[in-house]
Amino acid sequence: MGEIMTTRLEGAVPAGQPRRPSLADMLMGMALVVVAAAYLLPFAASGNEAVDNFSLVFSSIVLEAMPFMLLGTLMGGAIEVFISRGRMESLLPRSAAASACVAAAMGIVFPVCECAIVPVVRRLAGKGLPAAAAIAYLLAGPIVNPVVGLSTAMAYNFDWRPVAIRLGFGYVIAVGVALSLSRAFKRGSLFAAGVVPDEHTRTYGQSDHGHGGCSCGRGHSHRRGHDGGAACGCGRGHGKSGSFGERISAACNHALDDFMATAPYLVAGAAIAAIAQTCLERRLFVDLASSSLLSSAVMALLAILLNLCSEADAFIAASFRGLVPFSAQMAFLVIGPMFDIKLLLMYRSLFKARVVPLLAALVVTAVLLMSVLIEAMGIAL
Amino acid sequence: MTHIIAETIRRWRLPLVCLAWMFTLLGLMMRGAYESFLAASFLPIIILSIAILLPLAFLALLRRTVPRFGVREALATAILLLPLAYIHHSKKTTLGSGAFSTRYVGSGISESRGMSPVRGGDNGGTSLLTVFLETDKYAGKKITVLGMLAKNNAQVERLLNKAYPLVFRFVMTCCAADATPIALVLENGEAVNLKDDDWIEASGRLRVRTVGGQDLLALEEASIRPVPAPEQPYLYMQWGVF
Repeated sequence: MGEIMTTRLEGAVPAGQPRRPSLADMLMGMALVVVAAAYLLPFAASGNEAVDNFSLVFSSIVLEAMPFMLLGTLMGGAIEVFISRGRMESLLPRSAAASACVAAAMGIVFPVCECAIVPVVRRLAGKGLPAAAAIAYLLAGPIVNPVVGLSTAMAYNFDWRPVAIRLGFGYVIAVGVALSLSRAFKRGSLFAAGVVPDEHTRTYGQSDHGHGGCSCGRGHSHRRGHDGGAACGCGRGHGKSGSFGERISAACNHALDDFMATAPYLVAGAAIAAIAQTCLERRLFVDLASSSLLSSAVMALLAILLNLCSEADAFIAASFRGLVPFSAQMAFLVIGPMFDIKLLLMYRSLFKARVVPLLAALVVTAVLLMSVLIEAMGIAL
Repeated sequence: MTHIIAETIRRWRLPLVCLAWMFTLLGLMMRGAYESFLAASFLPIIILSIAILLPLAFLALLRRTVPRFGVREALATAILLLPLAYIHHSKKTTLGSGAFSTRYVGSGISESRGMSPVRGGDNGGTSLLTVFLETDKYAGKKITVLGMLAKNNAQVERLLNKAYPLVFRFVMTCCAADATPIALVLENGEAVNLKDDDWIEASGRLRVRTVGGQDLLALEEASIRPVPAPEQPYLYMQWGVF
């Protein structure tokens, strides 16, 4: 947004004429005011129970997610430096459908939670992972993995039906949404600037280090171009000539860039989720659910607002047994790891702005269809 | 002068963000204060985070190219440091009756194979979590449990057509955001000189009441006495299979 302001100041406005603030300027100004107010809140309203609860929940969500996000960014940095584009292309089938099907199951081998997966997928997409495969892994990874399967089994008293339904539908929905999005958008119009290289110039758009200097700190010449191997996310080839230490250093530098690019979205999402957790009465969601479809919609909304970790959410869903239908509990468990407020904001670091609402709409629609199907099949606990 | 300040901010922004987070985590770990926010089992993950943040801070400082610093980066930095203000200022060590009233849906943890309480048996009594996990074992027997007091709950009042005090605890899986309340209704319990969130020991005979299609656990002829807060306010479950 700083670039927008600079461009306008330099060119479009005649000298002496005051510049009209753009919508982007106003949004940035509003965000700064909100953040400044947020800094004052814990000091100004200390002792207020709602503020104290918000403070506790907000800190908890961030503290829980931050380590996994750091690990995710390190994994992303390692992928960037140690895995070549050629190697990445050879790992998955060529067809979009087949690659999405394989990628959606990758969580079984590489279990990654929803906070860590965004930076990992940013780097995988930059490395040339097909769009369908990247989205499938993004959506399915936090559900279709052994840790989530086990925690769901525990919460439901080792009844394996909820486990099978959660993981099975999670997989199918992830593949379906991934294929739909990859067909609706070209690769270049799907991912945010800085995530994938320009197909012609092999350079990246505006990113945290899109200022023209690579931040990986290796001091390599821009003229070295791409080796077709270990292409770096910064848009300049690292080659494989660096020592192991240098490559570790480069991986960490990329991790730092990803951390700075995605963590603010995580914090903003956590703040909104903490407000929802503090203000919303969960019982209201039960009372609102007069039909099974409405129950599913309401429970899906609750999952979006609560922003729970996919390893813990099954225990919350299980606490609604006897209060909402089983299909609604499954809607809660499938939608949460794919799309909640925190993820909605974090996805902005991965996708272009217009992609995120469509992704959300597709996930919500698919989850509601799943609920209808579960009801039609008469599955209940 | 302005140029020097701007250059300093550009150079030190990323290392300082990493160091601020690292020292905050270190402080929480040293004081054990992280258990107000996270499950005790998160300690190795916090140590790992500290181990990641330290080299990242040094690498950020050693970078040959200094990242740009504009309004966008200033906003991102302010957002990234915001939780630290809340963590340092947080005085509450546990969620209380406010969170209990928004989170309680009249149900909670039920009997579950393979699950057992990590902490409990507080003050020699029976852990509230044990009562919920092994309801059949305790039904009809006289028990003593430790928890916080909620003088009333709208949901319970609606079900029982009468206001009763409750004793409750939060069961945490990962962090305070997923903490689920469990509660016993204290039938005929007198909580005259006590207030919400006071720690109490409640004794009485456990009874399972089915009201409106859901089970409510209650202590008959409950007696209540105030007690000091336990060292660990949250309850945890462990997976018995491990």
